[in-house]
Amino acid sequence: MITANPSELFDGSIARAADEDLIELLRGGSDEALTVLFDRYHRLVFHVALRVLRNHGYAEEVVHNAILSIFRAVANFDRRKGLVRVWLLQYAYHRALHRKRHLTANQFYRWEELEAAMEVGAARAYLGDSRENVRLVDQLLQRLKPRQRSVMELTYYEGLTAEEVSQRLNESVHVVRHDLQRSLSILRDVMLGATAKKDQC
Amino acid sequence: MLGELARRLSPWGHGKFQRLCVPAVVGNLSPEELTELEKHLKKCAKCRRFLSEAAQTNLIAMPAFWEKRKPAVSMMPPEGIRARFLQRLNREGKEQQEETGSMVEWKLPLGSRSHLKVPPNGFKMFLRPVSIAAALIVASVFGAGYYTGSKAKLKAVPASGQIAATLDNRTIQATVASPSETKEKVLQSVLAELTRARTLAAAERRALEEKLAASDAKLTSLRQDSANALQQSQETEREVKEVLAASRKENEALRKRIADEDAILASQNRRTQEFQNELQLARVHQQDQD
Repeated sequence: MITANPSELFDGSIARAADEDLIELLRGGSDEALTVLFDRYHRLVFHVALRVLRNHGYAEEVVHNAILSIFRAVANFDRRKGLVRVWLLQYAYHRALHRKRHLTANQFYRWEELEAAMEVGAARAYLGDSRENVRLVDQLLQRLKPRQRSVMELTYYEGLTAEEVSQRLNESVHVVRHDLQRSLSILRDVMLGATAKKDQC
Repeated sequence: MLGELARRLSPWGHGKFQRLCVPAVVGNLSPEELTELEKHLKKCAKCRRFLSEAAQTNLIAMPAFWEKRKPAVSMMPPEGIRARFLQRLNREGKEQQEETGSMVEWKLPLGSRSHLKVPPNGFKMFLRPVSIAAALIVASVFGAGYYTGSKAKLKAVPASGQIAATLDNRTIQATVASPSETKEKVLQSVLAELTRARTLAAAERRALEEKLAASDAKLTSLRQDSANALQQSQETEREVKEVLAASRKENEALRKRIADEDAILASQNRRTQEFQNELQLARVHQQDQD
């Protein structure tokens, strides 16, 4: 049974444990580790989901699902590759985008091929090494032009649509979409390059 | 080759759809554009692959961006989100246990290669109910049952409210059936579980209190709205009455003016008739003199 407040039962040392240690505790059957992870990350996950969905109820649903999903994944967590925080961000962003499409479809549209292709991409993304990914994004940032960086930041941090970004930067929507595409394309090239280098090694 | 080049440059070729893929993965396409892309994806494996790669890159880039810069988190989640999360955890745990009669099977990996076993759209499984609470209850009860040897009797604990009763029964069984040294262990485990049950009850109570407070607030708000609406309605009625009275007054004044005008008109008609008569008489007199 999940306790309401772990500090009532424990001396508080679990609350200071590292994420990866909490995952180990979860794996060992410590349910309190989940509440600590919830307390630690629910604001962050809520923030990301709300930026995309712009609805408190839907964002809360994403928070619940994201934290619950840790339980499902905990048995196979590889602490050498995965950062819990990055994984949660990834999951929250993925589910929020999926929910947004579902709401846009409004029981009228069906995009099965599109959803399937995106899920394949998401599955590959989850397999990635999050520490390595952070390093690759660092490389990407160095290669981006200031405007491209602004587009990426407004899209990811602020959750703005291309139209909103174009208004903010006083550029056309076409330019914004192009910058976003170009930036992701550079990252993809960086990733492919890194993979090829690994294969050679 | 020329065909491929033409298709790339053509507005109906892959290029056009691949340009839609990135806005699609960041949630920037309209339903019409998404439908257009969907139609193309049904017959184009190349663009499906491109979209998958775009989705993968996007999903890697976004969290890594956040991790790199760590922007300030300013939005506060709604009140009671934690209590609702715990409620959901417990509720879904019970449902899952009733459906399957077994503990949860955790399938999704976290940063692990074994994720390859998950089908392409297997992430929908994330949303299936999780029976953590039920699993933990069962685990704890089984754990305690181990000491008494009564594991077979304790198959499930369906609700948190029944934990105490179950534990009482087990305490009695332990007292009767076990030797004194194991009795202490059993009582300790029972005490631990009672503590857990008490904590859960406290959480449920807090959640209910929050719900009650929200309900009270809503009721107060509705009452206020109702009072405001009534007041507005009374004010509107009074205003309408005033307007009606003014309108009636104005109508009467107009009728009076019309009557006056009618009287004046009749008087003028009479005078005109008299003048015409006098004129006719004057003409007759003139003709007589001639």
